[in-house]
Order: sequence, then structure tokens, then C-alpha cells
Amino acid sequence: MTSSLITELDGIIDTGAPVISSPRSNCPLPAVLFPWRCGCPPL
Amino acid sequence: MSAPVTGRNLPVVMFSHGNGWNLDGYAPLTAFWASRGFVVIQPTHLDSRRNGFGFDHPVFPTIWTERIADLTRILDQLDSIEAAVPGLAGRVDRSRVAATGHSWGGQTAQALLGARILNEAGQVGEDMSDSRVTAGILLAATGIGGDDLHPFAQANFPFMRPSFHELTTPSLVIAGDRDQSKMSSRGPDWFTDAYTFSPGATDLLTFHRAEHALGGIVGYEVAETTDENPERVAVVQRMSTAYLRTALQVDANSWPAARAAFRGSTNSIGRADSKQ
Repeated sequence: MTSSLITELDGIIDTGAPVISSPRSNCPLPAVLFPWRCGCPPL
Repeated sequence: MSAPVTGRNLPVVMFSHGNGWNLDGYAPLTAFWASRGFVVIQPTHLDSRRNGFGFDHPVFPTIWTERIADLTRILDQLDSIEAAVPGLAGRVDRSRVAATGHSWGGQTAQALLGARILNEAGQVGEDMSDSRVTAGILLAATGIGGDDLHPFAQANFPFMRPSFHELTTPSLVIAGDRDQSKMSSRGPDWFTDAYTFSPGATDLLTFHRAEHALGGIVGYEVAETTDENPERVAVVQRMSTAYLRTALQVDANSWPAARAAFRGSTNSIGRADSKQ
């Protein structure tokens, strides 16, 4: 069964931990090149 | 960027989204990787539907190179990116970096792993590899060009003429055996070309009955998932994590053990090939 494979794989990789995330932004990363598009400051 | 709350010396995984997506997609994969000890960074590329650049927009022909540059910029500016997450500073191991991606994002990631683009005369193009990247995962990444490529793709997508012979960075290729692209008449094996033709892609997972979304890695309850299968996604999550753990030197045994479990499963969900 696939569920038994998943259980077996869970024994191989680490147990999950809580996750933190950066603030979300809709600015595309190349804002340096395309500031006219979103008005985002360069990183 | 997503990262585990605890832990130090955390390896970095860059993830490049598929056509039209954005930094909020692919949570089934990226949140899982983060929860298992990786700092996962997801840019929004210019082709995101949020930006509104269609195929007919003047900027579109350059987007494939901007996509690759996005990943390079991430590595160039890790100081700023790391500082954006409270509590993360000083916990990132920048010597262990993987480039990963789905669909067009796979094409983006593979450039940093060494793959090149052929020009119209068939000559190998510029080297855009990055020595800071030491491993990769290519999910449903498109294959080589040629006459099988749809005329629209031949005319508009130069990035669909990859040369894999220069891809030397250790990589895992993940494909679905029912992934039939409208961009090529080749059939689902088109998505295994990176494994077939590159020296670096040493491992291939081919999931049975999987289509382009590989069961739903793009997101939970996303309309473009044509083959929704939570169990398949669960296996993709864990197999890719096991690969990253070994390729990024967290645990040498994770990938061999996971591959053996995958091959030994009584309910065959897919096939694992390896050159090793």
C-alpha cells in the first residue's frame, strides 16, 4: 500500500517542525530592472 | 522564504515556479521541505499572472533569461533575503544550495545546474551555471527541442532547445508517465530527457498515472491539477526531501534508503532509475 510506503519514508526523513516565513510581497525579484512595473525598491 | 523555526546550518533550496505562478504556489512541496530543515526561497518570476505579461508582450522573449537571473540574484543577495525573516539570521548554511523547479521552473533551475540552450543553428549557448549550486531537482521539466516541438514553441520558446550534456551537477529528475504536453508530440518521456542526456542527473523517479501536476504539487485544490492524488504528492514530498538530505549532505543514507523503499513498495506508485 502507498500508505505503508509513506510511513516508511517518514521514518527515513526528519519529523516535521514548525515553519516561519518572510513577509509576502508581490514585487518580482528583478525589481532592479523593472521598477516601472511594480514600484518596488531594489533589494 | 520559508524556514524551520529551529535548527542551525540550514541548507538552502531555491524553487522556481512553473509558467504563470508566483511565490505563493507549491506549498505542498516547499512548506514540506522547510518543515524538514531547509531554507526554501521562492521568487515570483516575471511571467507570473500577477504581472500581466502575455506571450505577445515585448518583454516576454527575455523572461526566460530573467528567470535564470532571478535565481542568481537570490544567491547574490542572500544577506538581504536572510534578514527578511525574523529569527533566521545566522542559521543559514550558504555552502549547501540546491536549485529546484517545476515545468518552466525546471528549465530555469537546470541552467544553474549546467544545462545550456542551443541556438537555431544547433550551437551550444552561454554557460549560466552557478558553482554555488551543488544539487538540483527537476520536476516535470521539459525536454530537448527538435521537430517534435510544437511550431509555436519552436518560434517563441528558445529555452525549449536545451542541451543537457553540460548539466554536471548532481540532480534528481521527477516525471509523470501520463504527462502529455501540448508543446511537444514526443509523449511523457519528453520529461525524462534531463536524466537521459545529462551526466549530472543521476536519478529519475517516474510516477505511474501522473500528469503535469504530479498529483497536486502546485497547490492544494488548484484547478490546474488534472491528476489530483494526495498519496502521490505525499510520496513526492518525502522522496524529494530524502534526495535533498543526501545531496546537500544532511544525511548520506536518506536517499539510498528512500529509493530502496520506493522500489520495494508492494503497491508500485512509480519507478526509480539510477545511473549509480
